[in-house]
Amino acid sequence: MIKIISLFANSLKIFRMNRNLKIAIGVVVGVGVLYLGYRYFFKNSENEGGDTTQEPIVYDKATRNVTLVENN
Amino acid sequence: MAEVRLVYPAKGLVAPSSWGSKESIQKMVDTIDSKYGNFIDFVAKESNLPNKMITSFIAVESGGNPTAGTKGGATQGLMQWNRAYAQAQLEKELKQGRMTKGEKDKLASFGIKFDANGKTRAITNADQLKPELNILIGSIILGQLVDTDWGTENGEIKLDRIISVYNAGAYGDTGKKARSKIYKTPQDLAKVVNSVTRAYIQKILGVNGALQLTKTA
Repeated sequence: MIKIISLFANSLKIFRMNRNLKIAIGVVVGVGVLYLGYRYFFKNSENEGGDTTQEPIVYDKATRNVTLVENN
Repeated sequence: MAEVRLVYPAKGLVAPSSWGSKESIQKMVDTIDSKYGNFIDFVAKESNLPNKMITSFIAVESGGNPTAGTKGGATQGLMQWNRAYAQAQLEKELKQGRMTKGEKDKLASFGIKFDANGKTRAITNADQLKPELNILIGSIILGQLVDTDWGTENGEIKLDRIISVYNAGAYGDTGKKARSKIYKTPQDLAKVVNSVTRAYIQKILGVNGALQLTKTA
């Protein structure tokens, strides 16, 4: 089993990579994991974009008459 | 006159117990009314929105604390609107001829005036912390949401959709669902929006929620 993993790793040249390249890959993977974690834990509370400037207004404010209806 | 109804509380929704007991919510909305009732009366009259709708948003957004939110943050104050967004919405209100003389004069009293092109100055954190101004701008934003084709449908204000967009924005997943008009009841929409917005809908529209407990009309 170890031999298979070793062969696989060698085939990917992971252990023969330049040290700086390994660090760079580590940083990229780390940032990716942190981002996914953030999305997972905070997605429900994130503001999804507050701008409504482009929403068409179709009713007249001046003539609006609101009746409150208590739904018992 | 365009007659519209605002129906509350919504069937199948209850204000979350995590928000407080019925008594504590009652006390909060009473305090908001006693502290800011005059401001709320003014903006309700100008915007043709019910007092209790405005009080309810203040209750959920800030609990009536005029400095609520992160100090200096983009959304500080009683109604927690975003400064840059508020400026754009004020300009839109003016451009569309919706701004009343009373609103325009009140904004001017806070130094918010419009040039010949309908542009105004940047809204500041200091502006957000002024209760009267914060409530005025919040009511203008709410009025615009009410007057969209999804904010009012078949003569009924769809407050669940308005809450969703006010809270989560128009163009994210929650906002898209709110504007889709697919979800016909607050209960249906509350099931599919994010958990924060769901709680917001329950706090305002639920049984023992802010709309039901606010005594003013």
